[in-house]
Amino acid sequence: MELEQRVKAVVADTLGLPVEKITLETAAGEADGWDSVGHLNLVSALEQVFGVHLAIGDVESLTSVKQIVAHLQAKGIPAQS
Amino acid sequence: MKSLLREDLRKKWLQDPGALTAGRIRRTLARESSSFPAEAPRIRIALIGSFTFDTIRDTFEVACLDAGLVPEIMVGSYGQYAQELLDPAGPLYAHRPEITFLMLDQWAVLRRSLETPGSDPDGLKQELDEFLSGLEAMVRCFDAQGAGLLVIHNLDVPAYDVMAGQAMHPGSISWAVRSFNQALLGLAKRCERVRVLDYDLVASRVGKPAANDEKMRLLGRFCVSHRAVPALVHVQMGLVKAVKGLTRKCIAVDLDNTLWGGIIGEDGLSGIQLGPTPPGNAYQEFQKLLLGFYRRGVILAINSRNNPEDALRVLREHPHQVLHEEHFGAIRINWSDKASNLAAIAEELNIGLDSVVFIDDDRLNRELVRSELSDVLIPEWPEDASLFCRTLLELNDFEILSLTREDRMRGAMYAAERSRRVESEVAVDVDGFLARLEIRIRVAPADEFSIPRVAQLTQRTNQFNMTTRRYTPAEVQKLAASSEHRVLEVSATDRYGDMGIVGAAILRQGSDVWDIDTFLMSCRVLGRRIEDSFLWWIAREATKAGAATLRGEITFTKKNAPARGFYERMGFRLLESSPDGQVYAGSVAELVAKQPQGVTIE
Repeated sequence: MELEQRVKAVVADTLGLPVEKITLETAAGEADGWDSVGHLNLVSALEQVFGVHLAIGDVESLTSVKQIVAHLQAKGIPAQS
Repeated sequence: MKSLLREDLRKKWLQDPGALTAGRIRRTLARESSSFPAEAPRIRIALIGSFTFDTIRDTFEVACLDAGLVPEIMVGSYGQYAQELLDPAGPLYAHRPEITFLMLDQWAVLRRSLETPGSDPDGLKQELDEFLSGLEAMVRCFDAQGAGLLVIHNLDVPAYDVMAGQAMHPGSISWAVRSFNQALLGLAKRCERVRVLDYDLVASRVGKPAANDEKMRLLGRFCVSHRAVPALVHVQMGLVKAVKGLTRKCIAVDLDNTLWGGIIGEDGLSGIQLGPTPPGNAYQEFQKLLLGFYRRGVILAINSRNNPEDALRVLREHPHQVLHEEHFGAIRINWSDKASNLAAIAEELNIGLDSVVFIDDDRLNRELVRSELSDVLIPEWPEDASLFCRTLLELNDFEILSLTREDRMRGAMYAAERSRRVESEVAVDVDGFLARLEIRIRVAPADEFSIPRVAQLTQRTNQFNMTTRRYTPAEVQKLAASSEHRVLEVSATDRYGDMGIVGAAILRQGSDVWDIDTFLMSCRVLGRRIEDSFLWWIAREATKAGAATLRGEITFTKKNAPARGFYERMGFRLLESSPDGQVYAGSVAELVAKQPQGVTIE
């Protein structure tokens, strides 16, 4: 599955949003449930699902699906798996 | 109490009872506007504290539902616990909680001192005293409002400290945390409705580094990590159960491979593993733990498939046995099914089945009893005896709010009652039980692969063994090769798996009479009527060979009491009787006419 798809699935599942409504532009503060607590739950879920450690310095910048995908790719998660 | 979660949600929950799963389940329930039956008991809870506890709230809510309780949770506002406790007209007291959990963290309690750790021991003590007197005022207010229990979380002692090895001495943060925890115990002693929840212990169980997720704490003031949340909620639920009267009162135990290693009916008093050397010492420790439960008011009971004489001998004579008859409030040692026994035990003790925990090493027994008696708690049990103590201790069903003298005496009182009572059995649907097992058997002549197993069965089987003739593999081989004899093995499977070869028979084929030289079944499959179908199969073979009669002997031994009624039960006539045994004869035609129900023959 494409990395983008997987990230969208985690965002949808963690924040309780329908996955069809998630786009690359979906962002914190705008999407329902993506508040500060939701953001931290999302960080936890991303770490669990992708087996990565997200550093405190990076977390604040992971505020949209696009940024999350880019960050994971930079950490070496392949675009296609 | 039955879980209020739908089956699919419950499955997800049991797989991962954590905060993220809880969040998903809560959203699903909200989306579906789920409502719960009016008769389901409610519980009013307040969660207040000094840090962010959304994850705890979510997990706690789902845990309550799974325990059969509908929670009504008042969630405190961030950092507002002092105001909430001090305001008689505020939302906390308006909610009338049955339990209020006050969750504190060290960054709230020692805020000033943490700005400059490692500097001023007097400043540390002063800040601590100030906080404690503030807390005392809050508790006085709480007490005056008369609103249920106040459970205060203590602080987890840091795993690492800037003072390193001196961290136990006054002046370190670790010392301050320990002092605070000690003072909290003093506060609880002075106030009837205050209890301390040992969060330091919870964090230790998970591992302090895992319980402290610095990133989450620094980002969002989550002072209890995602990893620690389930362990915390597990302990909180123990208190909930205590307050709601859902704690369990009785631990019923199996005997073989539970209180000792091995099977007393097969291995004998000197063959079972129980004593100061491994693995017997694991079983001994487990017995000591059960004794500890007995001493603080839990009733012990025995539920075992055994010859009462054999099992009681261990309790009475084994030099390393820790638990004796006087520790047990009810004893069922017989050949009945275990569910019936538990029902009888509960009735005899006059407690509900939902007050009972049943421990059995055998997975099949556990699953069968679970399907019959859904109110009994039957924990999954490890195969490794060294893990028995931990597994029992991990249950949160025995929380106590206080220990009374009556608690300490309860075990002995129940045991005394038992010795005055006559045993009565409550029948549970045994036919249904057997049908649900879906037992299938296959009878075949013993061959080179199965002859060793057949020989072993003749040597080891003592209980369901008609003639107890012992044969070596070579002797069995000879009989199998003889045209006059038939050596048969019966193997069985059921819904839960393959049981392998469970019985054997050796027949001498006369032209009109077939002599049953050996007929035996492994004690593990007794009570499932496999022997009935095995005998029917033999009768059918006899028909094909033109024989009219089956002749069966029973040689009385100390151990084969379970076998003695068999031929009579199958409709055979008694031919001879002596102090040493009996001889029976059965009509092949009559036998074949009545195929036993409940077991499928392949």
